Amino acid sequence: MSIVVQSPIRKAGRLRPFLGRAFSRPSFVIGFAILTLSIALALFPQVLAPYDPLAFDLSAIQQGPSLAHPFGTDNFGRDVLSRVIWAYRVDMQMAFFATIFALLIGVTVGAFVGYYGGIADTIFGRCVDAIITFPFLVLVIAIVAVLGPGLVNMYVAITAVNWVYYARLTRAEIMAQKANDYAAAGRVLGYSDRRIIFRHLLPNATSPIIVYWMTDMALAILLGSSLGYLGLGAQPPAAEWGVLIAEGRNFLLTAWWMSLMPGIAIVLTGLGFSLVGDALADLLRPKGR
Amino acid sequence: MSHAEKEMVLDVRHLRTEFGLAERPLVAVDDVSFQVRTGEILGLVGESGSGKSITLRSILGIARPRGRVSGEILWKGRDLVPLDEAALRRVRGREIAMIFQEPMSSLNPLLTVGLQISENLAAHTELDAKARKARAIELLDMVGIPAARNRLGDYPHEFSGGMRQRVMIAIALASNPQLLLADEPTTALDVTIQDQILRLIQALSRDLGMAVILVTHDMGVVAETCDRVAVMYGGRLCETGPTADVIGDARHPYSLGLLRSIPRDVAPRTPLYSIPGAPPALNALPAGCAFTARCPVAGPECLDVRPSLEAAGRQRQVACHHREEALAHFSAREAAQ
Repeated sequence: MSIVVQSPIRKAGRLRPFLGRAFSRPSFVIGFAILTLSIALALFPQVLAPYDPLAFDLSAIQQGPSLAHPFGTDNFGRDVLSRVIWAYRVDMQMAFFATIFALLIGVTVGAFVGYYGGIADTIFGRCVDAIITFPFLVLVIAIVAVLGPGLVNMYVAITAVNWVYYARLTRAEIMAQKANDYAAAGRVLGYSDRRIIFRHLLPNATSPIIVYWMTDMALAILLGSSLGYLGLGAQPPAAEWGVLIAEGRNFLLTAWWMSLMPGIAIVLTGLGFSLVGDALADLLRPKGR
Repeated sequence: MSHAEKEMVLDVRHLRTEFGLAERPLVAVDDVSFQVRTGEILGLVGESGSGKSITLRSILGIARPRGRVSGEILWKGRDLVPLDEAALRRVRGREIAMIFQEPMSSLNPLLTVGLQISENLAAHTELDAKARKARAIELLDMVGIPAARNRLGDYPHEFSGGMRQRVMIAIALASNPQLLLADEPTTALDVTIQDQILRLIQALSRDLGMAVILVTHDMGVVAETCDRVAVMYGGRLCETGPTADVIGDARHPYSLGLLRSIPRDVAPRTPLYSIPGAPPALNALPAGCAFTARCPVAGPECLDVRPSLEAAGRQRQVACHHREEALAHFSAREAAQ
């Protein structure tokens, strides 16, 4: 009986029960909702923002939150809500592009180094030590200072430092997976090293990498808006949360909403990534089979 | 069944595998020589750390790059030792296959069983996707997995331990290897399943004419499965011969001790015999016989002079300086009980 009952569930794949477990967690549901909203805002700001983010309205300068302008207006009369919404486009892009290349490079390097070990591993270890010795933000700021401010240069700078963390993580995971017999079994079956690494070892090592990626995207938003605040990232008049906060810092006492609203957006989005990352960490953790 | 008529497929001569620094090597396998013929099952017995598994891994070249292998491994006349990885890869899986001790960890947990079988088929045969699927079903059927057709889409964790070992065997057999290296394939399984798996290996060897090297530490497994047996200790061979002869009439003190440790017709709560002491560490192997420290009949020369494997009767070889004393010692103990 039980076999008959079980088999259709099993054939439906492993995704459905996984999602079921995910959505039974409040933290995942909240995080997922925040991220979905953030992505929607980033994709369709022209539809969702009530005003043009760059349009001056000199008749409504630094007005407090009201029905017409829920987040108030800034010192040029621009609608803060619209600017915060348009900033989603920039900041969500930052979260993605500042991490994805670091992830791809780091995972590839880490996988090879972890699999082969030996002299490559030793050289890699020294490189990691050298890069990690510098405080992260200081090194990134130094690289941006050399390359010049701007979003693309900021991505380059962050990637140049950040790949190391992915590589370290992947290396450790691959080394752990390599100890399993199925890695040796792959060799014994005459598979190439690349096949063993990318088809057998790496897929088994992805969950911690994905979890780290989630939290790293939150960090990338913080880092990107810090650089924007310092004038090294996105450049005004573009709407970016760090830039918005910087614009508002002279008016903190008279127009607090100019800095506070983008600040809340940063916190919320970061929280969304963290909650989803946390929930994934719990869900993907192997259950001692 | 005469051995001389069957074709010799594997001829290992003076195999030596060492690890660590070249100046102070740890010799895991030392001067090991044996032959395997078509359709024959050779048992390689010894306790943990005696070099059995490393011997198997050396044959397929997966003891490298950490281990350094020397000697000759003649696979159908061709020496495998000097081959590079790319050349070995064409032998591995296609001509020589291997299965492992832990069926729990030797399958990739993320791929379905069907995918893992057809991956091997894709790597080593010309079959197209449809033929691979048919062959995968045929293989699962052959290793005795019920309703094979329905189980191709299942993941390894949906199989029991014994069934997983069957799946491993099916994957190993996919490309019709002529030699199967089985590294303690039944150690992690319970006794009834162990018996089934051994019978399966036996039947496959007989039906497909496949040679098998079965590594185990269990004399019982050897007795019921193997045609010939080679006993290893401290990385060296101490005794080889047909199973019945070695088990019924062991000559080396170590084999005698091993056989003596199997409880037979004893009253409940009788303390069991065990060979005193522990196997020597690889960095503390004596120049002479590795068993000296635990041997009841060791003489002064045993520590320094390596006994060579010498013929002792039909198809048998023993490496011991004191065969007569050993026999006398153990038969006296046997009689005393």
